[in-house]
Amino acid sequence: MKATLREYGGHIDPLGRRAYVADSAAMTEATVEEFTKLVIEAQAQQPAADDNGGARGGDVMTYTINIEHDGQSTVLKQSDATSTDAFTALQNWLKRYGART
Amino acid sequence: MTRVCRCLNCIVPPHLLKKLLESNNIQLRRAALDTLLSTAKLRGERSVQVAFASAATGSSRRSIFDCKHSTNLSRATLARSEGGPATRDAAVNSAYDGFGATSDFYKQILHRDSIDDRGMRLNGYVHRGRSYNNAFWDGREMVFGDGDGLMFTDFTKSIDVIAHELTHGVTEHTAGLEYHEQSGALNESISDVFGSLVKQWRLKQTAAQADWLIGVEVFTPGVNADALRSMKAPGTAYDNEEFGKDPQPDHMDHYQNLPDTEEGDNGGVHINSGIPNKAFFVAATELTGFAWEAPGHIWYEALKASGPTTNFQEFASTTYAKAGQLYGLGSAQQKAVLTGWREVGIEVGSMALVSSEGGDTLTVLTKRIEALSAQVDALAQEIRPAKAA
Repeated sequence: MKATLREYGGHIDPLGRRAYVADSAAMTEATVEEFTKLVIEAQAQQPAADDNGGARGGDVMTYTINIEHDGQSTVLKQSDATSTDAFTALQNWLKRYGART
Repeated sequence: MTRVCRCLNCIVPPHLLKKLLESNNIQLRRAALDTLLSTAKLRGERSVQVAFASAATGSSRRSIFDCKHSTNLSRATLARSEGGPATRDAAVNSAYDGFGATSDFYKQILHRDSIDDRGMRLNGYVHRGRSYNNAFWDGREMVFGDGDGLMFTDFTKSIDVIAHELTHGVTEHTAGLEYHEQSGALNESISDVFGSLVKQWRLKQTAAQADWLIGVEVFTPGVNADALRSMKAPGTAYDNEEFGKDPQPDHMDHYQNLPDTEEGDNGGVHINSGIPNKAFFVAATELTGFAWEAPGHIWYEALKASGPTTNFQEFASTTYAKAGQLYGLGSAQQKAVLTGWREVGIEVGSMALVSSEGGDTLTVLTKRIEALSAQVDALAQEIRPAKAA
């Protein structure tokens, strides 16, 4: 499983040129377990489609996490105004352990 | 967003909910607001958010909440309220003082009573999330991150960033500039203009003395960057390996047509704002003196006279017209405005043509002559039968 976090908008790097990537292929078994748990929880707490990251208040940032697994791809999308705790936890984890590209 | 006390939906009457909006208990206040907004949403009254936010009035009373590194604002606790003593938390005090300075500026210089001109309460949230490199206005409140400590530090350290965020609220309550493409870039520029003016006013700096930089203080000392943006020289605020080069243009020739998506910064709202920023800087420095005087008043009156879809050309023409109304036709102030916009490739005054027609001056004039000729032909066709009779 591979997850890619991108951040857009806000005062810094509004075009989201930087990304954080984590790939389970390069992780220990314990880390894969933690990573998988965070992904499952973030997917389970996705807001309703019409609340999904569309906030356009001044300087609000939006985030996408693209999850690739077994040939399938899922994109989780949230904003500063809509972030769930589970999404934030996965986002923080990816920023801490993911590789910067 | 976690919603609390959903039971309020069915048992609390509206007048009590409105009373709860004034409560010092954030959970009660947010629950009341959520409930009122949910009800309004069901009725399709989207604009009610602004009205109810204003309901929590109190002569721009300040409340600063500590998020304690959570991203969930409903869990924040009140750290300092209006008139309360300074705390040990520097971010809380900076936000409190920054709101005070910005509110004083609007009141004393522009005679505006808070964000909504009706004394709207100013709610600020500090310590949002972990290593959060941003500050924002979400339509109700201003939220500040601590920075990651490596590249960025506490965003409340910058008075112009605080004033920038509060001004997003002013824009929402005046022109309501839509946050995408040119209207969005104008929205961003207005926040930079008044953010910088608040800083200059606080420091008592003339236009020539000011640095015209936004967010100097948010970078850690080791970072090779001057600021987030430069109004004086858009595109030069930073140039380093970490962030690349500042992408802001300083002229319409370099306007960036970006997609109206999050990935495209909603059409480059933080990118193309460099163009109107530069126009204001040029106008202000042409006049010398304090930029919050004539230039600030002209831009503020133009903001109030603008609408949600106002573009650069329309806003430029409005500033030119307002300068004429406020200071006289052909006045030094009006000439400075003309020079400001001309420097960034936008013509106003007698040379200005409505930009929505597209093309350069000659093309637009040709189109107008063709349209007029067609109208004359049509009129001739109409009156021919009448003449024959």
